[in-house]
Parts: sequence; C-alpha cells; structure tokens
Amino acid sequence: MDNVENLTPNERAWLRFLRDMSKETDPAPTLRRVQLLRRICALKDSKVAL
Amino acid sequence: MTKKPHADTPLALYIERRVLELKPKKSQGQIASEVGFPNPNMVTMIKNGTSKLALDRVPSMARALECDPAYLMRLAMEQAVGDTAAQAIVEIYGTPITVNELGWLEEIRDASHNTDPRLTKRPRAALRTIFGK
Repeated sequence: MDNVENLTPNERAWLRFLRDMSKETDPAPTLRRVQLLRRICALKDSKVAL
Repeated sequence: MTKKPHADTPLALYIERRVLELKPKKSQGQIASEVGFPNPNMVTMIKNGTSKLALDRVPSMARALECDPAYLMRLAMEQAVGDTAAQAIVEIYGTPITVNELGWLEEIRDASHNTDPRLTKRPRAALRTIFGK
C-alpha cells in the first residue's frame, strides 16, 4: 500500500488540498471530474506544468 | 441512557452510509458475519457510536463494506485519536493513500507530463469548482 511519505512535497500538497476540498470523503477521479480539471487548467492546450 | 462516545465521527457516518448503499445486496447481519463479529449487533453499535471500530477489524470490514481499506483505516485511526497505538501506527507507517487518491495523483502526473507540478492558484480554483466550494 502506498503512503503519503512516498510522494513528492508537491504531490503531498495536492493530496492535502484534495482531502480538504472533499471533506475527507475519498472522491473517485471520475471522467467528468478529471475532464473538468484538465479543461479548467487548460492542460491539453498549454501542456505546461499546472 | 446508552453512552455513544463515537457518535457522528466520520467513521460512524461512513459505515452508516455504506451499509445503506449495500442494503439491496446484503443485510447488516451478513456484514457483521463477514467481518467476523460474534455479535451481529456490532455493526449497529459502530454505526450509532456506541462502539468504535477496532483497527484489527479494518481489513475485514473494508472487504465486507466493499470499500477502500486505506480510507477506512484512516477513518478508524482518526476515531482512535488519543489512542497511543493508533498514533504510533501513523508515525511509523505514515498516512495510507486510497485507490481513489492514487487515481487523482496519476491523473495529475499524466496531465502534467510528470513535471511534479506545484499546486498553484489555478488548479486550486479548479478543484474548488469540481467540489462545489
């Protein structure tokens, strides 16, 4: 089982924020959510770091 | 009146939700039996906060509730805050990551082409939007 200590500091920050936002409900990264994340961050077009 | 020291803890609420979601598939008694509780009322007692979920029951409870064991372990450890053993587990093994969380991280890695992106203002806003904050 993976644990937080194996992540980079940036990944830990993402995870902390995700847990915070979801109120620790462990939300699934559904297609809709992932698409929304990519769209809002315009990742597909810019291909730059978030 | 019965004492309910663990009522409304995230674990109690989560188990209540999962039992409800699994209702069409299995009864609470079946769940208790799958977990290995000799007392079939144990699930009720955990749900209403009369009893807490023992850490050694987390794997079988996660299987019975068909949920992520890492997530359930986190909630169980949270419920046991103040419990020296639980604190020691977190200190030694760290906080486990759930399958869903790993899925998010993989998406982030893929979307950023493994550039280990910082959590800047824009993705924060995106996540807030996704979770309706």
